[in-house]
Amino acid sequence: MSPQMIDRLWQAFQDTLFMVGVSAGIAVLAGIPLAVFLVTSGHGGIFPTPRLNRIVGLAVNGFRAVPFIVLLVALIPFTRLVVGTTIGVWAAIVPLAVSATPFFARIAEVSLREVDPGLIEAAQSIGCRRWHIIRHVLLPEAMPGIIGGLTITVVTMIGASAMAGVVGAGGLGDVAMRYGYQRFDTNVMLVVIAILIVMVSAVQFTGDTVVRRLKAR
Amino acid sequence: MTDAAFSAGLRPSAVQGVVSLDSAVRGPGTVRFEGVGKVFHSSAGEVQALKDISLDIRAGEVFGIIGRSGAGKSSLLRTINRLEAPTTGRVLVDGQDISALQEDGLVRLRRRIGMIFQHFNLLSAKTVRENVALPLQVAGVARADITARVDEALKLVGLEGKDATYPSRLSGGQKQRVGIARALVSRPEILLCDEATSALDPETTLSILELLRDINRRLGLTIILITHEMSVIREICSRVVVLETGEIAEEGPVWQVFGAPRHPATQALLQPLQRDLPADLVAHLRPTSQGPRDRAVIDIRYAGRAAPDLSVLAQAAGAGLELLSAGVERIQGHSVGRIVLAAGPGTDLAAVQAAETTARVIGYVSAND
Repeated sequence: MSPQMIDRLWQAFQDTLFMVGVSAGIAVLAGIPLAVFLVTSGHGGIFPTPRLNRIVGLAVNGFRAVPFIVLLVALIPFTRLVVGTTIGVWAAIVPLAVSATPFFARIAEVSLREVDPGLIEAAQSIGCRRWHIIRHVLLPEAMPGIIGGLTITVVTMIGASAMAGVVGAGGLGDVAMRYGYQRFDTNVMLVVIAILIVMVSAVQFTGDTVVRRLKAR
Repeated sequence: MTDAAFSAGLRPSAVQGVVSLDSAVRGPGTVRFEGVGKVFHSSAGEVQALKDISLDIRAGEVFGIIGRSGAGKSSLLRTINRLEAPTTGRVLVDGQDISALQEDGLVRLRRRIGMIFQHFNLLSAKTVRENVALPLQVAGVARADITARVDEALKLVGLEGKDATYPSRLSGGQKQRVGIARALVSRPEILLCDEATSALDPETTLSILELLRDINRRLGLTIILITHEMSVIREICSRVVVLETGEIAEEGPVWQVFGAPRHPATQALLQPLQRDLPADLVAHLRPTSQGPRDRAVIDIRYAGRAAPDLSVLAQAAGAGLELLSAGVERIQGHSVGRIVLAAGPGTDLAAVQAAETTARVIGYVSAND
């Protein structure tokens, strides 16, 4: 493999890492509040606003229904509005984050719902306000499940980021398509696959370790 | 200077600290229910969980609420700190109607009322210390004060040295002690116990009840507990109310309700504790006398008074009085007992009944039985 190709792969690896990292960060910052809202605003929740809850739930389902490759294109005007360009790494981060946030929020929602209602009752009985309950009960108790969900989200995003070449964002998937598929360079294809397997394994291992630590107490 | 005086002067020791501070700031700790009703709306229709409950709970007493599952005890208990709001009627804590309270008032009220639960409801992501500290932390108490008061509370429940442990590493009894420490760390005037011993083995149950009694005595707080086990009521309560399908079936001092249960629900709840007639005797019991040689079975129950004088009974009965079964308990200094006798043929039953007015003939057995 030529030194240029190694450089290209190294650059692509960094692009993938950056795209997935930034959009995962956005997904966490937006997804957790969204999940908390979905859980607490429902009927019988601690901040009941059932109508708004239904509307947000529908919106989340809407984003979840659109395949990523379609979202990537459909969001182009929005992307231009947010980052000022429709090509490059940042142009891929917008649709990646928009797609990952509802995905992660739904998974986090499940973990939050599984928190024993008795714990919320106990927190109320000791004089916790509602935001205390979110901070001291819901989030810490659901944390193993949320971290597990984040692991799944990041792995899914690594896969989705392969389509970022559509908007010229580069990344490992783009290299594999252009050199491995269009130029029949099987070695490049295999190297990309190997790198992706290592990345996914590393993410999964890290996630599992954190969850195990949290659960061990 | 004695040890106690020394530590009190220097830095109040755990228990003394709680007592002295508390007696100064504590309100009376009374609860009054006025016509409290609760209706649940479910898909199956309306369920009347509580019907017109009126009740006074006095400061410093240990008050029991007992009933079968679904009798409404849990709902009633939860109206006191408004984890559940009554549909009708009022609940007054220290004379204050709590139904109008908004979040701020409610939070203040709940800080005066501790609560412990059947399944402990400890936060698994926090250590013992963090669990016990949480009520103070959310109330904005200064960090140094929190440390001191959590130490006090853990000492009170006998869990010193466990503060860095996570709840999952504790036994059921220890978890409940953490629950009690968490409930007491705010120095409440009322402690609500929701089936607090139902998930514990009998030995641990006794130790937790002992702790609750001790807390009641030392801190003088009102304890209101619900349970489906009469033995728990007998162990620590002074007064009890029996709930049946959301209504008060009967109410009174524990020794009275135990000694002379009037309502079928109470009798059913008392069943496991009662010294019943031996099964073989029941099998042979006949409602009527079938011959001159049959013996009458006399049942005497008494509560809150001196036991019947057996010699007087024997004299009234004449010859052949046999003791079939007997049991006497002391509840809050009152004797509660049951005596079953078989009277020989030719006994003057009227004379027995004159000597002991509660004596009842419950059947007859033949001479050979």
